[in-house]
Amino acid sequence: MPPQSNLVYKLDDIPPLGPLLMLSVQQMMLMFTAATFPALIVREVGGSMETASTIVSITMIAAGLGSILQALRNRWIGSGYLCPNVCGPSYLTVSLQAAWMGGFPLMRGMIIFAGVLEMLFANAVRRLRFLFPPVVVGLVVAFVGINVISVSITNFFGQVYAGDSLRWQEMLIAAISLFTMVGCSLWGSPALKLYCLLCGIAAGWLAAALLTPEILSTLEQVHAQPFFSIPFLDVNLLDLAFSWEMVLPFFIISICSTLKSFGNILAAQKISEPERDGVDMVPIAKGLLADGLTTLAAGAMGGLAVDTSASNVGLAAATRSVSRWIAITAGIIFTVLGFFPKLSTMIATIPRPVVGASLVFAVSLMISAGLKEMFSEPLDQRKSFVLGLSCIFGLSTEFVPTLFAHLPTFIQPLFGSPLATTTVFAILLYQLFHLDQILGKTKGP
Amino acid sequence: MERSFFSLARPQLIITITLLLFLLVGCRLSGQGKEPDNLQLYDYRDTKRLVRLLADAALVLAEEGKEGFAQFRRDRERWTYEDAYLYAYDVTGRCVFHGGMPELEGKELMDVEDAQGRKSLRMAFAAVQDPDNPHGWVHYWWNIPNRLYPVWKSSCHRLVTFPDGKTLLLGAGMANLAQERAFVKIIVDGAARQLAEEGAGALDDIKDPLSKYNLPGASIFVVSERGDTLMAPAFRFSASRNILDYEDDAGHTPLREAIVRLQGATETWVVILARNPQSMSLTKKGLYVRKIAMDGERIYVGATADLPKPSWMK
Repeated sequence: MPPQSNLVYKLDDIPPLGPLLMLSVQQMMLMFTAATFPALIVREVGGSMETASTIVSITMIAAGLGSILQALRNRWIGSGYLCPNVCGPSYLTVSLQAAWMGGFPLMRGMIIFAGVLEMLFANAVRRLRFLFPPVVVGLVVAFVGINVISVSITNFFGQVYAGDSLRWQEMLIAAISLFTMVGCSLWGSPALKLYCLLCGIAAGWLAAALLTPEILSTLEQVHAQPFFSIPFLDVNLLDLAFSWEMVLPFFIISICSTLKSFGNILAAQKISEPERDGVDMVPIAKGLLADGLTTLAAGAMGGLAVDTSASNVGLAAATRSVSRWIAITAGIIFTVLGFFPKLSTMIATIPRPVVGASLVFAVSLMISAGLKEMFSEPLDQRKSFVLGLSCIFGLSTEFVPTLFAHLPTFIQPLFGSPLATTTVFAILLYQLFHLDQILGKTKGP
Repeated sequence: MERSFFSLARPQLIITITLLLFLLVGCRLSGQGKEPDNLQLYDYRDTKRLVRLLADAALVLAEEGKEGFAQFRRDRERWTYEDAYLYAYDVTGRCVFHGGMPELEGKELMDVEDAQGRKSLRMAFAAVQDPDNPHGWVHYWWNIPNRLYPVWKSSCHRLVTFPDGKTLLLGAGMANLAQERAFVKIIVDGAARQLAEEGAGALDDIKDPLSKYNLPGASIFVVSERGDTLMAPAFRFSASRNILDYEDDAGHTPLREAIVRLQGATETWVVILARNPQSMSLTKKGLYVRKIAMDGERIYVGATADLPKPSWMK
């Protein structure tokens, strides 16, 4: 984790206009990695291209506004950190299930419900500071990164669908892109260090154009898009529905999503305020409230649920630019692009290996930041067990996911993802293994 | 940190110009990069690559005639990869070129049968004439050179005419190719066409395990508008249950949904969500349904297909 003095733009700094715009565009490019998720759902429930395009635009607008809200710091809402929103994959499966059962009105109704749940969880988080000693915080931050490994690596190798083959050209493109990012970050001039991701994306695009000229065929999608459109025009998007059957799946996913956002905002806090001793739960709770409200708003507007983005926090760490104004400007650009489908689709055609390289680059520093925090204080036997056991159970959800499908349904959410499992295990085990000390303190000598 | 507005101007300028160029050139080029040869029909890149290989090889043969085979033999890296290779047969079924098993060249193989008894070459000659099968797909059991066990192979075909006017069948195949939605569409469209043309008498052909309609993991069903199941997906006999009311594990009735959509169309895809003992979340499958008139009655022909799964998804 970079110490405070090494930050180029600190949390409250307002960068000059040029760097501000460039750093915001850089963050925005990373936000695009998930921009097309809503189109997947619309296509699979038989929606038209126009509906897909509308929902992508609405989700982008909601994510952009959410990023702004998250970066604000006031009495009520917003963590005040650079922790932008994207349309994350957490809600994909349940959203599809809801859309399938009751169409888009039910999907949106349940997303609003999930947003309300997230806001309620946020309220409960305020008083839980005692649950997060450095070893648990570090573990959660590291697992925020680990959670994104499968998406990052499959993109890096250019694989779209399970079972498809790999191509050396795409691996080379990803390698060129990644090494450009890392190279600029390590050996570049101050400016190149700041814009290492953009340099890597540009190098990756160039390599892709040379090595895989057929990539131009993806531009066909751009051609079909209008230059400007207002996605709210379709009044049917205001229909809402609710189903008791969908309450449990959405409840479970909203817990997982809250845990994920908790980890992301916690990581943003550690990166933005490295001098802070311990965890400040107030901005985290306000950040979770902003996340829940954004999900609610996304549903109300007719989009898909949004989530905070781990890779964007990682990028902030890599560029040592954590100014909240970067998040606000990126949010504004992302929102505006929601009204310009041709431009947003054009940006979304970034070659898959380049997307993968961007994610790998951003996430790598997230993991090492977590490890540093974990080992910032000596590990005694109790902490070692907390660390080891939580890692084993957390990683097992990636290594043997089929195993947990045979558990009773009500326990399954505990093993939903490495991040959720590790967080819950680390919190519980830390308290359990320190129970004698905790009780001793309470009872006195 | 104190920084003037222009202190970082040069790299910013370069990156900004690159990005603007990218946007301008991209928007300008959009619409010019259509995927060739209906490749957008397919989801998997292996399938697209195989169809491209066949199209490229057909161009070479159409220009150079049998000299093209020498090129295929000489430049194996270009014309053979992994388990994929080219082969060609004349119209009598004599193998004139085989990129995987050269020992077959010169042999008459029109009636060669796979492990189940399918006459794959006859099926290939029929497939290239089939309007529902744009790339002449045929699926059969075959042997990979130097491997003990049979593998399920999918091959695409086209007829090629040499400069001297001679016609032959050119094919390119690959073992264990992922099942495409397009493959399911081809067999359902073919079955629907045959039923519309020949009536209920075609059902025996469609049920025949040696027919072109037998695709592993995709069982055709035929159901009337009244709910009479003329061909059940899991049995060779006509089950009495009404499959129109089938509910998936999300409580949805996909066939009813398909019928609603078919009021304004002749074919549709819907999604089935099914519980999978290997996964904590519901698994998606695709259901392709086609509406036809048979013997004066409206019937629905369909089959399920595995949908491509993003590789990061557990």
